[in-house]
Parts: sequence; structure tokens; C-alpha cells
Amino acid sequence: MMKSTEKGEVMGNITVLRVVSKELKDIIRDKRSLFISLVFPMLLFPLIFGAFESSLLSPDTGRDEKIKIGINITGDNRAEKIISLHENITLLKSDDPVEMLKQREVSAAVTVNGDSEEEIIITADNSRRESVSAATAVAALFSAQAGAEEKGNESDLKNRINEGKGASLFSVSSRTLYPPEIGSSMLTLSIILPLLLMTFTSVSTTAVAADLGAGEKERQTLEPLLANPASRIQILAGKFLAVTIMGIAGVLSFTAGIVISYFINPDFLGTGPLVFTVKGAPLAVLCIQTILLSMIFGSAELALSISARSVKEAQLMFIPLLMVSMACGYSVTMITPESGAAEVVRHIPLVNIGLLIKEISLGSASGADIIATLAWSVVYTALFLAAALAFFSSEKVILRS
Amino acid sequence: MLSLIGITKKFPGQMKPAAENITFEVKQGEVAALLGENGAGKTTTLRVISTMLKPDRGTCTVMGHDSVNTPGRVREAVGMLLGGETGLYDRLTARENISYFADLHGMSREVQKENIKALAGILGMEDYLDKRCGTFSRGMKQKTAFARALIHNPPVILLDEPTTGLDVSSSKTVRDFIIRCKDEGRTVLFSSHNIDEVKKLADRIIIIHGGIVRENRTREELINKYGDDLESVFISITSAGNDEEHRERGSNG
Repeated sequence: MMKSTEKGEVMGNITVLRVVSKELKDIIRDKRSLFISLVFPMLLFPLIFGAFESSLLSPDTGRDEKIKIGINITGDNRAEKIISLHENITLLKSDDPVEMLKQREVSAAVTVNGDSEEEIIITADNSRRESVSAATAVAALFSAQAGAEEKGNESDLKNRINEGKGASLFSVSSRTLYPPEIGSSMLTLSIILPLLLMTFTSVSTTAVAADLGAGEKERQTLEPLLANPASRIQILAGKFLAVTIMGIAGVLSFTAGIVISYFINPDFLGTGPLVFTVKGAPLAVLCIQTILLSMIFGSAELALSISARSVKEAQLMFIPLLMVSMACGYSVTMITPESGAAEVVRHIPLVNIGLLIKEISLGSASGADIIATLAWSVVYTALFLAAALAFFSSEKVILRS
Repeated sequence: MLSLIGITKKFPGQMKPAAENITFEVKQGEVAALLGENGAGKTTTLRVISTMLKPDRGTCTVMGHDSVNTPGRVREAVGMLLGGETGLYDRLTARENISYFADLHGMSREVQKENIKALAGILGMEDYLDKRCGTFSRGMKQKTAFARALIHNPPVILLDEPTTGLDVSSSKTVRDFIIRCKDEGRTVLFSSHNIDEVKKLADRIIIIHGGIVRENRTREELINKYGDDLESVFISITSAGNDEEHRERGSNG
């Protein structure tokens, strides 16, 4: 004798968990989705970097923006005049220009000691490309000035050599804020982390999201599913959690690929041995942001998938989203966190997340920016979930096939 | 048990309602057939009963529960099977497919286990209960879908063209299933355009055409009124409906 449903016995959150459990079971048994979501990402980087040993980094290109240089002069101000010759440089006087550099208020710090024998120390933040470029540009100015002075006053030059003062009119030495491997690692991470995390999170959820939304229509399981007492919110919540879990698993798989690449060749990016400089609280924020990114893309792709007629149509709809995510990740590589442009992009969806990841990798993320960006991530997820629920509740969308 | 009063449903962008003023009642233990051609409004009617669609007008109640105001109660009372395709998760086993729907009905694992065992025995599914559905023949899939629809022991069963596209043996499985449901005292409403099937299985025949109920009688009443040749009856009723539509179109210019 069959028994009937015991009302109110197992509902609510347990139903959501049972939906998650079923969806994960279904996903794990789909070898193709599993390969695309988990195995392929792990293989991708070792294959790319192992085979080609190529570099992701391109030489820095010149900028038209004014370069801010912090300067501390204790002697005469000839050095200041020389630097001022460069029309794109703005000098900011300070007792401690290196601190200004650390605070990212300037692109390079110049300290001038002495009177006629000028000892010039140029300090660059070697975790920032623009800082290294700025310091190089300042050093070049002194070099050019010294060359011009040597040509214009040959007798003075001879006297200097005879007096044992050296041929150069300046003693220019360069320093960096961080040890070379740390600086180059920070620079590398600030470029690749936003790009990779945006790409990983958006790609990791595609196969699963397509199956959990449009796949239900394609195999004609959606109507029986929705004809159950479980609410659509519960079913959607279960699907969303399953997509998010697979998204996070995908990111972990990508990360494992990078770790494998590192063990094969620590210089796998061609930028010197990589040191992961993000630790402690910033690392925790990075992990939270990555989970939120998976949730954003998971909810967006689930919404698109539910609205699609078929898995094929869903995959077609994902393409613009993936392109946008990659473009956002790439665009962040062009943005200097302290610039005016950064303040503008802080309000642009996804780009602001990429910018935060960049700032975290450079160790310059502020508490306010972290909170604002995490809050925006939650808002984006909520909006996409609301859209997914609206699609899930729409007769027109549900019965479209 | 199952009652529709004046159900009307029109889809956006369509000139005519897919279902217009649909009114009928199916008593407990009765097997009723919605007989109509493709596009007659059979599926729309079943979708309104199953709460998949909200009617624009009218009232639908199942076991006294209103499909709009208490859809959860209606879903608890209904077991549904849509089309010849069974809509199963291929990567899950038959047991997992059935169990998932039991979960969604809020059934405890113990009750699920008991019911699955009982259904597997009744439907002869013991041998493949723990095999993945992707490897099943159509008949095996059909039985799994039946078990899924019955797992929560619903008093009302809705079947939308259950034999469409099925081979002879699978169609027989469906017919046996309907007869078993009737024997168990369940109320069954199925849609079909197969007159022989309807004649063989249905206690009540509801002929639907152009979204309108043209006839609603017991099989005996229908035969008494029109004779035994149901096919001719069906054609004459639907032709009359077509003529009516043409006249309406003509008078509307």
C-alpha cells in the first residue's frame, strides 16, 4: 500500500538542499560538462605555458598623462629645473617623497642631496609599470642634461676628471620600493589576476548553467518539475547554489592549473619567478570577491539559460557575457588605481570588481572600496536572480521551446 | 473531484483564446478523455489544471482546491505526465529520478523507499531501478515516468497525449497504466486525438475543438445520442465547429 505525502514534513531549506544535491549529482555524471568545467581549466595553463613559455606581459607603452614626481631637495634646485624641463612631469615637493610613492600619490620619488655635487636618488615602485616608466624617464632626463652639459663645457669636464670628481655631473642612483622578485610579482599579479579571475568565473559556470536552465526545456523535464509543490524560488535557489558551487570548483581547478604550471617552471609567465604576494586579510577579501564573481556570473547565466529555448540558444546568449567579462578584466590592466579614471570605473559593473582585484594584488585596496565593491557584487547577483525568477515565473518563457 | 467552470485562456499575440469558457467536471474514479485535434486546446486545459498556466477567466478546482489561489495544494493532488516524451534525467537512475520528485513533494526518505518499492513491483521495474535512464528503452522510460507521477500517491492523474509517438507495446503500457489508476480509484484525465484509445479507456468523453467544449458526455450517453461510430461523431462535431468559425469570421468581415 502506497503512502501519501506527509504534509509539511520536509520543505523549506531542505528542499533547496535536495535540489542542489540532485543537480550536483546530475552534473558530476555529465562527463563532458565535467571536463569543460574542471579538467580543461586545470590543463589549460600548464599546456599553454609549458609549450610556448610565452609572456603575458607586453612592454609598457607611453602615456600622455602628466607624471607626478615627489621630490625632496636639500641643496640647490638645479635638479628641480632639469626635471621641470619635461613638460609632462608635475613636481610635488615633500620631505618624504618615498612615503608619497608608497601611498601611490606620485609615480616616482626623487631625493637630491648636496650642492654642486648632486647626489640624486630615484625611487620607483617596481610593482607598478607606470612607476618604473616614470623613474626611467626621470633618470633619462638627468642623463640627457649631463650629456648636454658635457658637450657645452668640455674644459670644465676635463677639470672635473683631473680633480678626480668623475665625468658625470650627477650621481644618479636608482632604487625600488620592493625587492625585484616581489615588485615584479605584484606587477604581474595586478595584471593577470583581474583578467584571469573574471575569465575563469564567467567560463566555469557556462556548461552547468546552460544545462540547468535551457537543458530542462530541451529534455522536457521543466513542466513536471514546476508541477510540484516545491516553490519556484526553492527550485531556483537550488539551481543557483549548484551553479555557484561548480563555478567555484572551476576557479579552483584553474588555480590548480596555475600552481601546476608554477611547479613545472616558476618563471612560467616569463616575468621572473612569481611570488604570491597577496596574504592574510587581502587574500580573504580576494576569495570572497571570487565567490561573489561566481555568483554574479552564475545568476546571470542561469537567467539567460532559463529564458533560452534550447541549450544551443543559451550558449549563444552567453557569448556576449563572456566577451564583456574578458573585456572588463582586460580594461582593468590599463587603469591606474589612483587615477581619475579609476574613480569613474568604480561605478561600472564588473570593471569595478576587476579594479578591486587589481588593488588587492597591489596591496592598495581601501576598506571603503572593498565594502562598496562587495556590496555592488551582492546587488548584481540579486538583480540577476530577480530576472531569473521573473523568467521562471513567466508562462511565456517557461513554455517557449 | 476535478471541476472547471468557464476557463478561458488567451495567449498574447493570438486572435482567439486557446481555451474558451471550458466547463466540465470529472468525478472521483472516473477516466475522462479530452478528445480533439492538434491545437484544439487540450494541452492548454491540462496546463491550467496542473497550475502551469493561470486562466484569464474561470475557476478550476481539484479536490476542492483552487488552482490559482492554492496552487501548491493542487500540485500535491495531481500526478502529471506530459506527452509521449517522458522527460527524465538521463544521467540519473530510475530510482533517483523518482526520488527527486518525491523530495520535491516533501516526502520523507522512508516513505519514498516504501512507495518506490511498491511501484517498482506493480510496474515491473525492479531489474532496472538502479540503472541510468539514458540507457532505457522507451517502455522502460515510460514506466519510470509513471512511477514518478504516482510517487506521492496522487488522487488525480493528468496525461497529455500519453501515447503519441509510442510504439505498440509502449502504448499498451500506457493503457494498462490508465486502467490500473482507475482500478485504484484515481481520477484520470487524459488528452488524445486517437478515437479508438478514447473509446476503449474513457468513461467520459469531452470533445474539444477551437478551444471550445463541443460535447461532454459519458461514453454511453454519447453512443446513445450519436451511435457507435465515434469517428463520424467526432468529424461531424468538429466540422460543425469549423463552419461556425467560418460564419463568425464572415460576419466579422
